[in-house]
Amino acid sequence: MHVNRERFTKGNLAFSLAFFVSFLYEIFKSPDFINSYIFTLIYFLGVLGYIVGTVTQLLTLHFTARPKDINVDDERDKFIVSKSYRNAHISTIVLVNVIIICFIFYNKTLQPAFFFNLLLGTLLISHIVLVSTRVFYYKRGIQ
Amino acid sequence: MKNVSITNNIRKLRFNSSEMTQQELANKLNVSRQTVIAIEGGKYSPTLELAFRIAEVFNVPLEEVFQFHASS
Repeated sequence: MHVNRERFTKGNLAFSLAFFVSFLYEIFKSPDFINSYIFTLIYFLGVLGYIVGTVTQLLTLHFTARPKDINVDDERDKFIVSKSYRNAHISTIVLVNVIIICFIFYNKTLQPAFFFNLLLGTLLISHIVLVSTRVFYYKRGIQ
Repeated sequence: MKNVSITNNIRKLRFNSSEMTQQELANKLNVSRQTVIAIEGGKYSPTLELAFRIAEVFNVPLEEVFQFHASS
């Protein structure tokens, strides 16, 4: 039994993009939305759902597949994952630095909720970079 | 700067080994079929360990499976 990591990654990308679009919609719909804590709750429920989904997938594999047949990630998967994590890490660092610069120059004029939104957006963008570069490497190949 | 390319004969070797399928080769190597497809298509260069395991499956030397071409 082998997990089709490519298909799983495409599903993950679609979910992440949908989540990011809903995030942008809520932010631009109402700047005070974040103060109601509803979006924060949805955001963390989304993150929790992702973690629970991943753990469930691994537990299902653990209990249903025969031990010698378990081959969740082979060396190509691991290589692609490591390269995509590097890309996501770089994008996180760049975006967090942008937020810090914004905070230094605009901390008097902008509300803390704005920076919180930026931080949530950064984490979402990094996740999208992570998954989309993974899809890209699966499609184009990796040397 | 040198252009490096690595070609392989895995497809030919599979057919010479009583038309072994990609899935059968993947099972023997304990990798996914997608990885075998990527290696065959030159989209992924396997690690040295996997390269030796591929050669071992076909019972041929490594140079017969992979060829290294460097051109300036």
